[in-house]
Amino acid sequence: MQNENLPGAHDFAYLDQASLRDLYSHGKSQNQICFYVSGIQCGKCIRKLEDLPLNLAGLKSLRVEMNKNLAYAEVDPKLLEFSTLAAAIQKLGFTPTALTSVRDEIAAQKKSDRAELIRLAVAAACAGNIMTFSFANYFGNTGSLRSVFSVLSFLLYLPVVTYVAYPFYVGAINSLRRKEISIDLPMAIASLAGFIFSSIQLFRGQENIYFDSLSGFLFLILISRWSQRRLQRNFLNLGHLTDNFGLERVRIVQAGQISWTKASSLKIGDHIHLESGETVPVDGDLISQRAQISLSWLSGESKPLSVTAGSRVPAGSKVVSTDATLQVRELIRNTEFGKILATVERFSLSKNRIISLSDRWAQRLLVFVFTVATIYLAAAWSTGAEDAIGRALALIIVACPCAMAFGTPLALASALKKARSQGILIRDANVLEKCENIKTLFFDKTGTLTESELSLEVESEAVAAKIRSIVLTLESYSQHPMAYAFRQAFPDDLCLIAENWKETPGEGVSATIENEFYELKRNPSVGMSCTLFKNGESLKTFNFRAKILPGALDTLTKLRLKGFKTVLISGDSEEVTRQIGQALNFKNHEVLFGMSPTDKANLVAQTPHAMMIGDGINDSLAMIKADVGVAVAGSVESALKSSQIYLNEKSLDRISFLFKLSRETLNSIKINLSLSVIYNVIAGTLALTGFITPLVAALLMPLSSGVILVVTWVRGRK
Amino acid sequence: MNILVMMIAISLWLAFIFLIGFILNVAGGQLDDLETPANRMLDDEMETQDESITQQL
Repeated sequence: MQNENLPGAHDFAYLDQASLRDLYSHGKSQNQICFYVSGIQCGKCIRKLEDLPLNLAGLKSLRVEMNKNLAYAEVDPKLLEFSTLAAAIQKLGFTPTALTSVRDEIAAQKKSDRAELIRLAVAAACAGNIMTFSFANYFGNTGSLRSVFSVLSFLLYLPVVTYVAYPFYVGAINSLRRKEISIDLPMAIASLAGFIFSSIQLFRGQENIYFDSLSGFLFLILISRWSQRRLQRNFLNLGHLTDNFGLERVRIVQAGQISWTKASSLKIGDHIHLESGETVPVDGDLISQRAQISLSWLSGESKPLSVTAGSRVPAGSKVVSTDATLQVRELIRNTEFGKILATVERFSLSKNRIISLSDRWAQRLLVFVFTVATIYLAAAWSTGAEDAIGRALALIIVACPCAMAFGTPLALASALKKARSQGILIRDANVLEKCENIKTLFFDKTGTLTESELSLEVESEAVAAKIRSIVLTLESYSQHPMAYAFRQAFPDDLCLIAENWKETPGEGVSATIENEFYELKRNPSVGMSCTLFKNGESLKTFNFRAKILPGALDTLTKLRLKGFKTVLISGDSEEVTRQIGQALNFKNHEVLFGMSPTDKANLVAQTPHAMMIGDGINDSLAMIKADVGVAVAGSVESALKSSQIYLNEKSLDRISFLFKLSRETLNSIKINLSLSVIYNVIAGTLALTGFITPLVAALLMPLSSGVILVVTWVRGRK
Repeated sequence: MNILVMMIAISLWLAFIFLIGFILNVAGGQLDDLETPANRMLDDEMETQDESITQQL
């Protein structure tokens, strides 16, 4: 994936500048760097990158982490500069972005992953060995060897109750602090109560020791949670938003000299220089005579805006033609764009926890079971304390919330896997529950229903070959969106030799070709079009449009037939938005135009059960406010920070699949929960009436877990 | 009886050694990335100077 939007994609000199080097380098000798590399897809890509040290002198090592799209490099600073390395990676066909603070997050995540794996290994080793001893005891082991096995089980359970179950204690305490009951609470209570009760039984020389069931149960829960987390973490490891936009650095103009500096060190009144394709990191006043800027990330407006000296240029806009010099008027944190970024960052860092169906059921079941057990204990205490404790304990053990503890994570993990195979990446699996209640779908226009880039309305064959070559020659150096459209429309035509090439922001390009003076002038008054002139005489007018994505109409029709309300919201002009709306069969009142990011967010927030499908940063606020935010691929990666779902392929039929998957997953969870309730009612009644002893309860618990596992597995394979 | 006790001790000792080995591997970072090595292996030829890459550079 090439990301031409990334500022500085062709200029990595800033990586070597002393004032910025410490921002990107790490390691004791400051000779290591971490890149987010777009375009890694297979083993060949890994090899291509990891073989770089063989072909690039001074590159000591380069290791790729494919699932995170990261490349860690170590260089010999005397022989190789970071900029040369970045350029070499780019030459291989990838797009490297040097990461700054994200490396600390990566290190912290690695540490936590390692701790989790070690905990899992300790749980597996202890539970496995405890089971071995317990099985011998269950199948008739007697005498002193039986006691030895019980003591060994006790010793092996010590690391389980202290170390393995620790996250459950923390989770339980945290939930109690929040005055909630979480699924961690019964795990913590079962682990501790089971340990105390079994230890007392052991030292009294009695039967009914449950170290095996408890350790096995805790191991199963840990492994199901680990697999769910791993699936969820296998994507969306992007750098900070500012890294994606390249806003952490900027070129400053001092005494006529241009040099890179940290954006954080900018002051109001400083002069900054921006090149074509770069994002404006401050609110500024244009000092250059003219410039063209695109507000597509802010408003969705696809047509570039022409500004003259003294005009205010907002942060987040993109320079699309020639260079521009600005005077800083407001630093990023105080700009509208900066505020959007800060909100998105906060959303991205927050847990964004959805109270899931299983959590709600778990709370009810737990409250019910503990209440019944306490009432029973109080009522039956006088008739026989030991029997009452035994029956209450049997109830607590048998009323296992296994459907919630690992049935639900497994169903969700299976859904994540299915979604991923269809190109849908889900940041929070619990969002699948929310999809079930969605009633209104808000679609952004640019980049979601239409291509981000413009396309030429006329077919290539309908234009004379000579004119195609002249147009290509004129536009060959331009970064204007229309120039990209021409290059895309006429890929096989050759450029001619041009003299005196000149681009005038807002007006167009001109050059002398074969001794004739040609001009390609933009027509600001006639929508998106431009006209070719030869020696001042009009030759041909070209019209452009934002191309509707293939399959968009089919998907919208299907969704409408299923009863969803569809709404088109755009920051673009009425004319362009209505044109797209009509083509996609939106009713008049379903087409909303000229919407700012805040307008979009307010509308979405006021609409119950809303899903926002968008791409750019201009949709971020709305995606945060929606019940479910869906980011569409091929656009600004940072939009992912504000959404829970990411469509890996720009195909809207994935939305229909998403709803189908959500329904299937919820059905799986409901079946698990229903099985769990039936089991708990029957087994709980038998426990209280004395038909099930704590030992039988401990044997039944893994059996019920097994049923849940099999049901989830079978449904997951469908 | 004695041989049983001895074998139990040995089996526990073995389990303990495997566990320590696993922990050392995890701590050493061998399990940090479970995807890349599997993909790397598919194109694991002799590490020689790749002329096509040199040309590209």
